[in-house]
Amino acid sequence: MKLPVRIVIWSGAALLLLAVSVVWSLSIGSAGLPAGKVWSILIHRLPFAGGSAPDWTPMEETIVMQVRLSRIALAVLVGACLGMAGAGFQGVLRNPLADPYTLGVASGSSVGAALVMTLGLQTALGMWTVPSAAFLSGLIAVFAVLLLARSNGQMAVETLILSGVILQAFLGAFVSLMISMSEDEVNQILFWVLGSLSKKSWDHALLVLPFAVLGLPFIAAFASAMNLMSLGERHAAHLGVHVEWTKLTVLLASTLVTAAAVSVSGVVGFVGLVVPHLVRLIFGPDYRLIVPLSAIGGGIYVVWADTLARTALSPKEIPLGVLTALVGAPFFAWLLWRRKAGLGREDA
Amino acid sequence: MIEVDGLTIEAGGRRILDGVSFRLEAGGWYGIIGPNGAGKSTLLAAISGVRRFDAGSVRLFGRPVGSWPRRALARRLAVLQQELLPRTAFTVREVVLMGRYPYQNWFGGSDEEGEVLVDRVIGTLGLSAHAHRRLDTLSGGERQRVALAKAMAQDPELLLLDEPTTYLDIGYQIHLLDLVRDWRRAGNRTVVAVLHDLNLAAQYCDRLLVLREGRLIAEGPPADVLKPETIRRVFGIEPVVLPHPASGVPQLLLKPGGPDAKPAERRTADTASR
Repeated sequence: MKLPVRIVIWSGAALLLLAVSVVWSLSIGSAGLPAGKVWSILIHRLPFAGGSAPDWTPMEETIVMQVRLSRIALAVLVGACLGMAGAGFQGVLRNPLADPYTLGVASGSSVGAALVMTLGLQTALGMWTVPSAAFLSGLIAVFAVLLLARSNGQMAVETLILSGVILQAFLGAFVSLMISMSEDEVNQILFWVLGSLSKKSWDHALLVLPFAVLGLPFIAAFASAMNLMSLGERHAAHLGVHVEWTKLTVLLASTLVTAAAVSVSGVVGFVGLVVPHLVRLIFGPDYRLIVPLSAIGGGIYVVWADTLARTALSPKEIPLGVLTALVGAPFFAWLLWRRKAGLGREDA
Repeated sequence: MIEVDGLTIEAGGRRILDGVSFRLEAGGWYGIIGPNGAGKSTLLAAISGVRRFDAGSVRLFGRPVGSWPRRALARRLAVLQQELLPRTAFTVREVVLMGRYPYQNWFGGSDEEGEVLVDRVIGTLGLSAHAHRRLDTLSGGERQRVALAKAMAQDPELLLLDEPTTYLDIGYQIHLLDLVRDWRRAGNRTVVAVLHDLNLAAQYCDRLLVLREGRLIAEGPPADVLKPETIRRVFGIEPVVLPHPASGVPQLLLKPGGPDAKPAERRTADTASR
């Protein structure tokens, strides 16, 4: 089957699964709305749908359209950002352990957010104070890693990863320090670091939307180059790829997309690591499939995880980052076991 | 086709290449020989445009190598590396098709003649039975043949080989070089090969360039270059050089050094024979 056909078919199937996941997630929650009612509210809102007189209260409509749908939209967008960024990072770093946080975005964002909270400045610039601080400090951390790893105008992959590990350890210590100094009963910093989509609105989803919408085609444009790079940087260079430029551009684009997601959701782990691996395991090593399917797959993964997070121990919320790792870590262990058994050998 | 002038490359305070100059015409098979660390691979990397140099110039097809857009260059120049292709999950055909990257758009679909060429190359190299096997199921020799197929799929005028037979047994070595020879003749292409094995170099190359400590110290047909005296000067060994019984090109027989070797005597003998 030709590649464009395969991309369309599999992306279509994945989008269908995403739509089903969204509707399923919309139908469950603590308010105890019957699924049928949720569906009527949704259909009623569709343009040109017309339909019967509403048999639900304005309150119920608000729960579905404002509370649940905005949160699910944010889950899709955050998951998509982390999935495509994970594919980008793995594509240019050619390391099976690379994920969107490898170069320190998450640690950087955590320091920014924690600092703002420790100083009690959460609302100094309105509701966007913490996200802006997190976004900026995340980017600063990555620039520091890129500078650290750069020599002679080139960035060796090993040096990049090592620089990321060093900076993460350093910044992680800062965050731990601020958590331990905090005197709050319920620790805000800890809650932010663990990731959560609760108490978010459509505004948050709209903030992440442009990053996801622009990031996907941008990263996907480098898919062929990343395919060649999986043969080694020299091979790619001899086939006409600008290796250093590709590395830098894909890393920066993936970082921007990740920083946008992290700044509103906190540190949601494992999505960007596990989803591209799963896609690769099922659909093979071609990044022209891996990039778009990782974006959609990331959306599906986070929608499911967040639905569990808000319903499993209701009315208590499980932090989203805890859930993605609780599900993701055993999966990753299984992946390693499979690789050890020689069944899933990949480009490493 | 290749004009190298005063090429100098330094790394870590050491001159890897020191003022190398030569000119290669289109259509021949040129061999670069010399001991380890002589700068052979570095020279090849500089010619292919992936290695920056400190002084001198390299011109390819009449233009400075640095001024070539990478994609345009990849349509005229291909490189077969010493390192084998990694064990990826891509299939043989997918990897050979990557050789068409410099001709392709994003989907890789607009290149109809490329598809035909790729299938022909796969057939020529005897890979048809493996076309849909994953690279991680192939042996080292088979993967090197895939790498050669990928380079041929680029349809280049100039092919650079960097010690392509290092990890291959003698059967695969001869087979691979035969394939390159036939392909070169059929398309009147140019091959520049770094080769470790002087006997193979003598049999396949029209001319040899000898590098030692970053300098070009000899250049010419194998019969002129592969003389005991040159080999002693370059490699520090005492060889016996005989004409090949079939083709007449010079071939080397090696003998161990040590107490039995009497260099002084032999030098006298060589001088006398000259």
